[in-house]
Amino acid sequence: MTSHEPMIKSEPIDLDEEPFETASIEPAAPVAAPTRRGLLVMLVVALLLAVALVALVVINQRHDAEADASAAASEVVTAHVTQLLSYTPATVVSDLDTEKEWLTGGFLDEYTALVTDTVAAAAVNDKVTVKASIVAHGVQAASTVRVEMLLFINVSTTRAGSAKPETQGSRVRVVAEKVDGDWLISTLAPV
Amino acid sequence: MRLTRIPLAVRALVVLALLGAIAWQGVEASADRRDDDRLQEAVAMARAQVLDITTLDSDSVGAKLKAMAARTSGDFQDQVTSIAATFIEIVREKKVVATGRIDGVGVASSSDRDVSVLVASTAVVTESGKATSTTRSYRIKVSLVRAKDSWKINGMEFVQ
Repeated sequence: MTSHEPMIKSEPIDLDEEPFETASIEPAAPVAAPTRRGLLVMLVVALLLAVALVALVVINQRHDAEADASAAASEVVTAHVTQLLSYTPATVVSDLDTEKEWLTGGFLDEYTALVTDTVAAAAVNDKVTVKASIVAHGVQAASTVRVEMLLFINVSTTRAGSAKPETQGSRVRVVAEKVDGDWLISTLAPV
Repeated sequence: MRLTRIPLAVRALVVLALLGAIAWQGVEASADRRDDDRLQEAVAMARAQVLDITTLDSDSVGAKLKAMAARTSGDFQDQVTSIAATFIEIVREKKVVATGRIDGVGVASSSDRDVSVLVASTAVVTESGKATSTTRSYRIKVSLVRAKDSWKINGMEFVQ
C-alpha cells in the first residue's frame, strides 16, 4: 500500500439513480387511516378496561362494606338487646322512650305493647328485676342494609321474696336494619 | 389537544396501567370470593356435625360417629374416638331415637385459619321404657381450624 492512495475509495455516484426506497415515505394518506383506526381500537379497549375496573372496584367495595356493616350492626345489636331485655321495677317504664328509638317496623309496636301491657305491670307488682347477658353472638347473614344475627342469652330473674335469681338460657334471632344511617332492630324472636 | 397527538407510548401506558389495576382488583375479588366460599363450607360442616349428633338411633349411631370423627382433628378427634364405644353402647341399650333440627346458625368469629360457629338446635329424643319423648334445645359452639384444603372441627361445646 502506498501513502498516496486514498484511504477510502469513492465510487462515482450515479445521480439518476434513486438513493432510497420511496414507497415508505411518499404516500401520506394511506398511513393516516391505520393510525386513526388504531387509535379508535385503543380507545375502545381502554374504555372496556375502565368499565371492567370500575365493576371490580364496586364489587370489592361492597364486600368490604358488608363486613363493616356486620361489625357495626353486631356492636349496636348486642348493646341494645342487653338493655331491651333487662329491667327493674323502677326503670321498666322510664327506659321505654329511649328503647323505642332503637327499634323499627313491626317490632317497635310489638315491643311497646309488650312492655306497656304486660311486662311493666308484672315488674312493678311482683318487683321483678331481670338482667340479660349475651354469652355468645354470631352473624347469620349480612348485607349493607340488613344484618341477621343469632344470640345466646342468659336471663336471670329476681322476684321479691326469693333471694336467688332464676337463670334461663335462650337462643334469639335478631334482625337489624339500617334506617337513616342507624342500625335499628326490626326482629327479636326466640328460636 | 387532539387524541392523535398523544404519543403512542403514553396511550400504551394508560392501557397497561388499567390492566395492572384490573389484575390487582381481580385478585382481591377472587380472594374475597374464596374466603366467602370457605366460610360457607365451615358453616355447612358445623351444621352437619350438630345434625349427626342430634339425629341418630341404634342402627345409625355407628356410622354417625364415624362421620363425626372424620370431620374432627387433633385432641378433639381423640376425645370423639375415645367416647365412641360407650356412646354407641348407651344408644343401643336404651334404644335411643333422636331427631334433631337446626334452628339457627351464626358466625361468631372467622379468619383464614379459624372459624367459630354458633348453632342453635333442637332434638326430640325417645328412649325405651319412656312413654313420652323429650324435646331438648341446645346452644352449641363449633370451632373449626383450616387444615390443608379443608376445615376440621377441633372443638364443640355447649354454651352455658
